[in-house]
Amino acid sequence: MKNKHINAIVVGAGAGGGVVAKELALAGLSVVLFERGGWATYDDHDDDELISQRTTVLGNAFGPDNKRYRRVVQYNDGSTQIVLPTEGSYSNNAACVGSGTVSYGAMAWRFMEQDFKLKTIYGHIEGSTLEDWPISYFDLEPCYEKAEWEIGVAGEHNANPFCAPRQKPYPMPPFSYNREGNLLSDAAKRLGLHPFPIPMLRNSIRYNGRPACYRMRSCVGFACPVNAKCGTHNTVIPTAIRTGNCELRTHCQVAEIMLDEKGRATGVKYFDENHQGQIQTADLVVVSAAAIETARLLLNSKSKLFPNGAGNNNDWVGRNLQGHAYTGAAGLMKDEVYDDVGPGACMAVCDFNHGNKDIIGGGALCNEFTAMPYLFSKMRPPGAKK
Amino acid sequence: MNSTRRDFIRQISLASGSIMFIPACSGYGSVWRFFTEAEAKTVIAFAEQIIPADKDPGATDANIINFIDKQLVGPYTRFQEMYRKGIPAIENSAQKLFQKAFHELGFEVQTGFMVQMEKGELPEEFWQETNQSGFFRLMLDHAMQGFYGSPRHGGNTNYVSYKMMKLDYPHVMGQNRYVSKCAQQPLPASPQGREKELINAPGQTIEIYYS
Repeated sequence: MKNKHINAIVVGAGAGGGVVAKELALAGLSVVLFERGGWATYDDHDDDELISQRTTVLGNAFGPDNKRYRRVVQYNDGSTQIVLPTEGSYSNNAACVGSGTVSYGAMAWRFMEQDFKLKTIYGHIEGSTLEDWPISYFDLEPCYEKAEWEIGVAGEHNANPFCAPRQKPYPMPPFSYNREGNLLSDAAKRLGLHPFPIPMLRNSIRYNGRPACYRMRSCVGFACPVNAKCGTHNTVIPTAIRTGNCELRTHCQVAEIMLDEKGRATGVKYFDENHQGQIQTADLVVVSAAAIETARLLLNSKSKLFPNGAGNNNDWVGRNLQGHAYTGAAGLMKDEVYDDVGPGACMAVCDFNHGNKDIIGGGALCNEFTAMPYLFSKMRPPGAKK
Repeated sequence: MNSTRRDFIRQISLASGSIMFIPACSGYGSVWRFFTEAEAKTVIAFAEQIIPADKDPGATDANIINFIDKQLVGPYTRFQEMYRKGIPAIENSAQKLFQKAFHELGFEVQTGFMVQMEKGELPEEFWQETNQSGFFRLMLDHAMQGFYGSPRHGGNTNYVSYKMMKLDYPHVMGQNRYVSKCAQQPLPASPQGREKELINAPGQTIEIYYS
C-alpha cells in the first residue's frame, strides 16, 4: 500500500529527532518519525551487565541487532572487515526509541560561552579545521532552558562559577553526593577548585508525572526501572504522538533521501519491519540519525546535482567526526569509599574547561559512573600481582 | 496444496542443513551443549585457576563452564573454532611437558603452565593454528563474564560473586534506597596538603589517600 504524502519526515527518534518531531507535530504538521530500532524497556534486560550499553559482549539491549545491522570497517591499509554492533570497532550508538537518552548517564551540560568561539580564543590550529560557531551561547540560551524544563534536569544553577549566565534555575533540586562525591568535593575545595553537583537528566523529585530516582548502581548503560531518567522516549516523543499528528514507525531503516532535479528532498526510501522496500514522500525531511548514520544516509543519497551524496559537493560530509573522548584516572583508597549509591557520577569541577596553560581547550572533571562488576574486574590496583 | 517432490527435496535439504551443524556440537556422549566431557574438564580446571575458590566461591561454584558452554552455541558461536582448536593444544602441551592431562596437574603446576601460556611460551608445535596468549585472554575474559555477569546467562549461580562483593541481589528497589545512610555520614578529615602533593607529581598514577 502506498504511503500518504505528509508534511515532514524525521529520520531517527533519538535526542534530536524526538525534539524536532514534537515541535513539528505541535505546530500542526503531519509527521512520520522513523526509528530503526524498537522500544527498549528495563524489563527486557534487567540489570544485565553483559548486554548493557557499556559492555555489549553478549548482545545489546538497545540495539541495533547483530543480524540486520552489520557494518564494514575499512582500515588505513585499505583492508576491510565486517563487524557486529556488539563489537568494539562498530562504534555503536543505541538504536531504539529515545536512542542514547534511554541508556545514557544523563549529564546535562550546557556549552560555555567560550565553546562557541574556540578559533577566536585559541587561534588557527595547524592541521585542524577548528572554527567559531556562527551562533553564540545567547542564541541558544532560551533553547537550553526549554529543553531543561521540558525534559527535566536536576541541578544547582548557581553552584558552578564557570557556567554561562542563565535566565532561570533548573526545574529540580540537585542530587546529593554519594560518599565518593563528598570525598572528592572536600578534596577539590582544599585544592582551591570549585566542585558542584553535576546537572543530571534524572528526576530528583517527582516531575513530569514520573517518580524520583532511587539511585541504583546500574544506571548508565541501562534503562531506568522506575522511569526516573529523562529522555526523549518518555517526554517529547509521547507528547508528539499525543498530538495525533505524529506517527512513529519503529524497525524502519531509512536507506536513501530522494532528491528532485532542483536538489530538494522529496521523501525517503526505507525498509520496513519486514525488510520490504517502501517510499514515504514529504514536504520536509529532517535527518537526525546521529553523526555516523546521518553522514551515511547523506552519502547514500545521490542525485544529478549531488553525485557524491546529498550536501556533499565540497566533500565535507562524514569528515571531522568527533567521538565521545574521555579519559580517566583511578586511585586506591585506604578506606571504603563505595557506598552503592548510583549512578556514581555526581560531582564535577569546571576549573579546567578553558584557560589551561599550553593546552587547547580542556574539559570538566567528574567522578566516574559506577563500574559494574565485570567491567570493574578489568581494573587492577597499581603494582598488583596478576 | 499438495506436497510436490520439489518441496520434499527442499525440506530434506533444510533438515540436512541442520545436521551439518552436529559435528560442531558435543555429540551424544556429553552433558554439555558444545563441549565434550574431556574438553569440559580442561575448561573447568582453567576457569578454577582464573577464579580459585578460597574463603569465597570460585569458578566451579559459579558454574562458569555452563556459562561458556551456553554462549558458545549462542552469541559466541564465532569462538567455537578457537575453543575446539585451543583445548587440544592445551592438552597436547600438558602431555608433552608433564605427561598428564591439564586437569590432573597440581594447582601450582597449572598456574605455572598458564603463566607460560599467557606469555606464549608453551611448545610452539601445538599452537600453529591458535595463538596461545590470544586464547588465554579469551578464556580469561569469558571466565570473568561467567563469574560477574547476570545469572540469566548460565554463570554466577545464585549471584555468588555478588554475595562476595556484598552487593544486594537481586537489586533492591524501594524506599530503603531513596536515602543513603552512608552518603550522609561525614568521613574523618584528611591530613592537609597530602592530596595536592600526590596529584601534582607528574607522570604518576594519581593516588588520593584518606584518613
